[in-house]
Amino acid sequence: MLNGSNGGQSAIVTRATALVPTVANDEGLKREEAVHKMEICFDLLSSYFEEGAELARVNLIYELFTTPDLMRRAELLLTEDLGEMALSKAWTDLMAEGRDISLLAYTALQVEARRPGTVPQELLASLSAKVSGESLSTKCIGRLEGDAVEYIEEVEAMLRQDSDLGLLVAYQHVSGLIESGRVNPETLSTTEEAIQEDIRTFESLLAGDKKVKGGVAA
Amino acid sequence: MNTLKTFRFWLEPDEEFPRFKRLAWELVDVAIRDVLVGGVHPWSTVPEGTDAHPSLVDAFLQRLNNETAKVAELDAFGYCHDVSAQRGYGYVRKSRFEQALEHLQKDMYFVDDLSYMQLLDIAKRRLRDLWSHRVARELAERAYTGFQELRQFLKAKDKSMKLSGYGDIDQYDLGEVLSLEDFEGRDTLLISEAIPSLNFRKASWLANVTDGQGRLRVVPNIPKVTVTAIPSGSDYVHMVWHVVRDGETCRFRPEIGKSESKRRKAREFAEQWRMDEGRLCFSTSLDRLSQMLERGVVTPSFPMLNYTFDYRGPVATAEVSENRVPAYFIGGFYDRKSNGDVLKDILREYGVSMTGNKAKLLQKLAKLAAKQYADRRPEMDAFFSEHRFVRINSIPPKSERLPVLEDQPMLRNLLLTMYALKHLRGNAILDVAHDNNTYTEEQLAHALLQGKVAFTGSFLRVA
Repeated sequence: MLNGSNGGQSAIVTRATALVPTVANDEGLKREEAVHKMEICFDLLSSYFEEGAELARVNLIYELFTTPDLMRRAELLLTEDLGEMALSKAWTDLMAEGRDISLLAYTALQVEARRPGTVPQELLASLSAKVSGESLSTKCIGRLEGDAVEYIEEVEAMLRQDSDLGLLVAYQHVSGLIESGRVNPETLSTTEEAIQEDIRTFESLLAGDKKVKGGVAA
Repeated sequence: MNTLKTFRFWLEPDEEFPRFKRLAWELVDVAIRDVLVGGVHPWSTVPEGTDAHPSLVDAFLQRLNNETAKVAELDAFGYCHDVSAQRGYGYVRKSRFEQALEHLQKDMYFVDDLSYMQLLDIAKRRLRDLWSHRVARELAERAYTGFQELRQFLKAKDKSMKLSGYGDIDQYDLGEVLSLEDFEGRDTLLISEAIPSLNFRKASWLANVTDGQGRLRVVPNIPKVTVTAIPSGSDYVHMVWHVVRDGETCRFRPEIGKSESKRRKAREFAEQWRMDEGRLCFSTSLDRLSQMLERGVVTPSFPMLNYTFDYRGPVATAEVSENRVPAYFIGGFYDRKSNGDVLKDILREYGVSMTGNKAKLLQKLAKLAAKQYADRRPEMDAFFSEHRFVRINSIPPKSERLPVLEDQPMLRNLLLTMYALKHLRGNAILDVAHDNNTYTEEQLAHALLQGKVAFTGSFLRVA
């Protein structure tokens, strides 16, 4: 986060440039892509900075483009008014990523159904395409193997959710748990907590709350 | 009741050459403990003629062909050649391993210690014992391969012999004319003529493939076994447990798949045999595993046993009960690709004239759809106001039909498709308040019937 009120463009440049190797290493992006992202990020940040106000917004945009946490990005995209350009760019970037964003796309469509205008209209059809049919059932969950068989009932209990959103969240977490090959009482408990927390977070997003993940978004 | 068998091997003196030994064996019972802890090979003859463990013959022969199994001095003369497994033929109702054993029994000698000179001496003694016209002629013909050469050799031994062809040789008793000394220096010939099998191994090799009781063993222990429930009673459920032994403890993991009855059976079985708190996967003692076999509760098999590479084999699995996020689809409708008679049937159903060619029929159908759409729109508005949906591109397996307009099977899908296309915002949000007015209802129906526009995907509920 950028702090204080006396920062200048040079400070932003320093921050943004310092971001490049981190992004390149952590995300495995090519350097040119990282530089390109940095330039766009800088443009967005500097334009806000030039207005000489709304540093909190600058911080959020900075975070939007730098956080590796998909959930946090969802929060920012669906609850914050960060300007059409920033949101459009962030949504486009998200859609271009190779990873499965079924849960986020599903949530975004749900939010848009409740609060029209939250998601850029030109991206709605793309979001529809991003909800994978496979992620909508237990078919996306692998088999329990070896000693993990012992916990079949605990796993099934986690998959019994009251809402469609809860089901999707549970499928995703349980799928990850089983893929990890570490199914034991500790990881089951951790996964159960993560499911409940994510459900609360996504329900907050649906409700349009800014208070998510136990805190206030900026 | 123990179904496990194995081979017990021993060496016994050859009838012709008592100093040489032949391989002998029998099938004997073996306890599961001896298999798991002692590595005794669990022999299976089912199905008949097949190798339950094809790697056994390869591992067995690999040890037989190892340099340490060969008699070094004889090997230098080519008397310890490698043996390969028979390919196995369908008409021979024996496994490759059994065929290999029979081959070894017939064609291989085992010796405690034997030098080349001792072998030669044994060969000479054997030939002396068997000396006759036939043996002498055989040696002479093999020593002198051309007739003139052979004639010259024999004439040198007896000038009175008259030989104009091979047929004349048998007119004489070569056993009298020749002696073993006439072949002095032709050691290879003498050995090969005297000894029918020229492939030797150390008798001590047998210890490499057997335990202290002579039972077949090629690895120090066998850590994994799969046990299958033996049918008993009317509530039999085919159950399999993959068992791994660690010391005196056996870890049982049931193969459950997605079967509820297997889950129940596995729970009952665990309660009966476990020595820990496991509900499905459990640990118990090796002695209790032995009891299971003795009482005929389970039968063992070794699908993971492979002597030539590390085979992970089957693992116990369980699949979660199926559930899904409900998804809804509209389904297809009759259009330009449909038979004209079908289109007429729809028009007849609604009392519309059925005259005209197919293009005319489609126009009439579009007009009918527009009218029905207007008539049923309040119902659809009410339904989609109460049940809100977002569209996704895919149609997940086991999606359901939208539960609306169910009394109108012939036009239902067309009307719902029209409704969806008119009310989809961003081709994603089905919004009753949204209205795509690019087409009139009749134009939209006609475009759909002509295949110029289409609806794809399915709907998920809005939470």
